[in-house]
Amino acid sequence: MAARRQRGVIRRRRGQGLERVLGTPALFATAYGNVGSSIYYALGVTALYALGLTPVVFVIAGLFFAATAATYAEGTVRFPEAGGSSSFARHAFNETVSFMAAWAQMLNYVATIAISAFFVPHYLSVFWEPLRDNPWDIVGGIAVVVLLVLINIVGIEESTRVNVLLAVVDFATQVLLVLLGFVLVFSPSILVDNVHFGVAPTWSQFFLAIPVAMLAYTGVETVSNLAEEARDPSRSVPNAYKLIAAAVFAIYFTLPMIALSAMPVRFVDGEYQTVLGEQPPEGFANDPVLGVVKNLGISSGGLLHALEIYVGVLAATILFIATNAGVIGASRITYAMSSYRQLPGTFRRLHRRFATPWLALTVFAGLAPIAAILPGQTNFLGTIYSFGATLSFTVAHAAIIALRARRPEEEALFRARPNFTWRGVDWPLFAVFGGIGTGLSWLVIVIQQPATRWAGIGWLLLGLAFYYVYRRRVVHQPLSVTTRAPALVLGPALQLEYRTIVVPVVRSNESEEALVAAARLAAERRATIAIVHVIQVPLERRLDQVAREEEDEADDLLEQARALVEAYGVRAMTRLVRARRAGPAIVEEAERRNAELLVMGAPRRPARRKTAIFGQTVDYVLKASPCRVLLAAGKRAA
Amino acid sequence: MLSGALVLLGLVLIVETAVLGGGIGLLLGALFLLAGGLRLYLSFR
Repeated sequence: MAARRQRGVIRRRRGQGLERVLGTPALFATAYGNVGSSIYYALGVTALYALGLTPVVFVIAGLFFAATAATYAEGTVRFPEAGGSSSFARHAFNETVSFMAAWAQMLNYVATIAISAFFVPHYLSVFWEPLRDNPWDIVGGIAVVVLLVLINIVGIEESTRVNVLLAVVDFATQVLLVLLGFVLVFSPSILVDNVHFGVAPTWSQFFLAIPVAMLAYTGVETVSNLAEEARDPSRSVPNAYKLIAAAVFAIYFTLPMIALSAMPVRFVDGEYQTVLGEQPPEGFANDPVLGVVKNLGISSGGLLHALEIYVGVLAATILFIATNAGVIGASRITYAMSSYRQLPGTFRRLHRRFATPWLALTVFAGLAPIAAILPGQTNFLGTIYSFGATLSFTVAHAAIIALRARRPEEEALFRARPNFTWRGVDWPLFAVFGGIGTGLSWLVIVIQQPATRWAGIGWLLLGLAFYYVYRRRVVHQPLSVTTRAPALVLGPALQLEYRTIVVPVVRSNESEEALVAAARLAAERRATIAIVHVIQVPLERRLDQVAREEEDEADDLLEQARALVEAYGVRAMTRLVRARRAGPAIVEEAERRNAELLVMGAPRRPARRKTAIFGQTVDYVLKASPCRVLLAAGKRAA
Repeated sequence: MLSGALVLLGLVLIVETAVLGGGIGLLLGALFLLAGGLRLYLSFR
């Protein structure tokens, strides 16, 4: 009866629309919404430097992107937690390197927020022309940032379903533009004539254009940040990265060819240039995709105007959402950094009324991006992003190489390819290639761009100095040691706040009682429940060799557990773990999620036998758990 | 010339996908075919 009612709840939930479990499609759509938005600004900035070689530069940057995606896929499966390169560096090196990576990522978020917000008014200029240029784009960009910070402080949740729909519409529109371009303007001969090797672009411009083109891949870490909420990261994360790489390749290798066919390189006033990379009013550096639309050679005025309005509104919406993703990312990374005592705990404090990290949002998602927008320089924003991104990616590649070298015997659920085995180590060739590429790209930016060099290095030095003082004077811990901040204690009664409760489940009455107990507790404390099921894989099989039926059964169990918890109005995440033993896997999950409480069902053994009261798994968890453990022993036994 | 190449590429992609499997190939093949076909139509018009 109860089981039938539960199945009914699950069916109703499925009927309500999008599944709330983050699988491959949801991860892909959310990440593409982010990565796919960058073409709206990256095309113009890259074309300014790369001129006729823009399509080639996107291919080269795309290869580095593919290597970076492989590194992130492996790292995220290994450590399914928010943080990306910072998290990989913590496990591979130490806390100081992790801080550097996180601080560089913070710079990325600041630049992403600034550049996405700055381009929203450019695309809305289809309604009011002055928005294309300074000063109105600066005013518009700042207004977007302020609005989004306020929305996030008040805590209005964005709809995942709308975001996924927009990502699909965005991809379809980009495919449509490519298709129209192939029909109307694509010309291999123009593409060849656009190139004047060593002259337009010069070699230094060409090498600078490669890191700048990486701007197009803003958002590659999105999947990593969502991995915490993915049910089965070892399957969904690599698949999502493969799909993103395919979609990005399909658009980013074709749209620049169409753009350069429609807006060829010309010799004007003694220099080679393309209107794609020139500033308004003649050029389209501020709204390159609108430039493509206007130069497609569509003869019908009405159709052209309608297409311009459509692309303008869509681009502005996508960029608005990408700005919001940056705002959320900045507040999340600030929270993670203060959880690891890389930043003061003040940034973790929640607003008394809205329960959101208002200070983190105001400083890193509001004031810093506004300061970056104020000069109104697109190229500066682009290169400062590349400075942070290439540094952060290089750390990620180095971390994966170090992890492979230091723990060659470690069993991995997923290993990206290609690899090369030498002296007992499976060297990740993709990370070596990606690391060299992104490392050299970072050097090119540092050498060639004085403004970016001083702003970027200044940011890093400021962060390091602050980290040194904070760690030495306040935390009283060495810089390289990983330290977790204590659980947040709120209110005058010093009541301990349970933010995350981990509940391991199997199909048993005790597990169900544990779930109900956890759900009741979480409903009172507004906590989140992470439901974990461990599939124990025997030693004779590889960790990823699990029977389909066993996975389906585990999925079904997790789905039912989630429905049960959500019936109490509690937010639940599910996680399927493949491991040799359940106990260590549960403890690791609680550690990774920084859980304050672990609730588990514990069947008691009959009292007459002279053995332990609980089984092996419960016994291990009780001994090794990093947090409090609450056991639901079952009514009959009690 | 280019239009013909696009049509040919589209056809090859569709046939290849039909034989080996994989949905995305059909979509890409259809898009190439459409692009090549429309270019041919515009050039003859």
